[in-house]
Amino acid sequence: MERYLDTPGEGSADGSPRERDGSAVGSRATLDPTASRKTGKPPAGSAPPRCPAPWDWQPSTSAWFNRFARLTDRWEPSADLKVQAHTVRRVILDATDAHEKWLRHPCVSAITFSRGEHRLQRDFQLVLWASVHSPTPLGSVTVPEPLWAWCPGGGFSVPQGTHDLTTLGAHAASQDYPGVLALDAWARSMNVSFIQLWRDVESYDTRCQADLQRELKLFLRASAAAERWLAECFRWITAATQVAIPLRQTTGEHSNSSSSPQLPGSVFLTLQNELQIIEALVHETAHQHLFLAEAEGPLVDTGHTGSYHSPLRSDPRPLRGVLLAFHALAYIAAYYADALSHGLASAARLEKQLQTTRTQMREAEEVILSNRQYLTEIGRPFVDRTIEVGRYSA
Amino acid sequence: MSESESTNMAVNARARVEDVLKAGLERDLTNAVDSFDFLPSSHGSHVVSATFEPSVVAQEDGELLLSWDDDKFEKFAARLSELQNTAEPLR
Repeated sequence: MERYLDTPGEGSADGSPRERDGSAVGSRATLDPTASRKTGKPPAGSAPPRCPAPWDWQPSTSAWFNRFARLTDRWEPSADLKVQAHTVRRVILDATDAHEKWLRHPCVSAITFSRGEHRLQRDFQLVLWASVHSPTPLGSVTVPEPLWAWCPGGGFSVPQGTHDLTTLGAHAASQDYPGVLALDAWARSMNVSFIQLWRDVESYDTRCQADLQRELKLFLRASAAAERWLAECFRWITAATQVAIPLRQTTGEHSNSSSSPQLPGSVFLTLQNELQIIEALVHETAHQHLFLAEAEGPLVDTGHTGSYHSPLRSDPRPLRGVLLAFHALAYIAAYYADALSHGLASAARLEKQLQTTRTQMREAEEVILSNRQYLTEIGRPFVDRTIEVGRYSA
Repeated sequence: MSESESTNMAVNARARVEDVLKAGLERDLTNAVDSFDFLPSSHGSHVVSATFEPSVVAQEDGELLLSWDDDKFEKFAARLSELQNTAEPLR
């Protein structure tokens, strides 16, 4: 087995809240499978050899931020909060201009999510999130009923009354969190309805709590392992995903995962075992990256209504659905190739996962290439890059 | 649970997801100019039966590969799992 045992800090992703967006706008790296397979620790005193990999490709965030700015202009916080709306909007727009990463986060769902549910709570969360990340004082907020202030450390209840936002923000920022990818067990960062959420358990008894606790620990271990051994992959994950929302397991050993362009930076996933958790993170993060590319425009001709077989679904899918699968599978295959290189599990297990994934990827690729004429000008180069990513694991 | 039962549950779960997404998250692709509801969401269900836990924690010769900060993880997981009904006071 080949591992980096002596580089504990290597490649740890910077999840600091004030981090600038790190996307490689327009960059194009050559994919070289042989170069990326690490064969031992780098020579002492020299920089580690550059390992071109699929993980270098991150679609531009510019179009996404342009959309976000237009939505922010129209956002009006709930009147009951009595916040300085103009100041809050100005802070958010300044951060938008600077492509600040903290905005690609579920805490901005008051702006990005179209349904009006839990509006007061989501507006409050956005204002709090802005106060956590902006040095500009935002004044006070009036809380008409107890609200939850979410932060990666879990958060805290804010009682009814008027509060200084700088104080609330500082308190949220001070809560410790043992990782880079945040865990939101109660889906409080975005406060929208979804299925299989832990908060919807009718009787949250000690057994439920023990199950959740065990699964949360699995996630923390998986995240730590990915950060340590799959550093490039982990950087690519954290570039687009900042919060993981655990889903309850309701389907035996089947894993479920989901993401939405309206909830940027967040993925929903069941937590079964470490290997599956990283796979789901890679899968849904691939979608997050694809959503960024689609913010510029459709990848598939929206007038094309054909449906096709997808290797990940039993029902016929539109061509875009197959493209989503192809792109995700190319990255999942890259993940298993890296996991194999670093000996994260037995070679037999990982080889099996890799071969299964590659077979599915080739199925999807064939459908996409057979229908290339329906790809847009944005979609064609996106598919070409995805094909390159797919070669990495060959 | 048998494989077929498990598969049926997965299919049913996905159907519920489809309903949720259609009700709330999916929007017309043509109304895409100033929003993020220009795209359907994504939801998948599949099996990853392998786990790497035993081999990650220890090599064949028993050498620890990763010194898990399990105590820290345990404490945080416990704290997070208790936050459902906890109105932790603002200090």
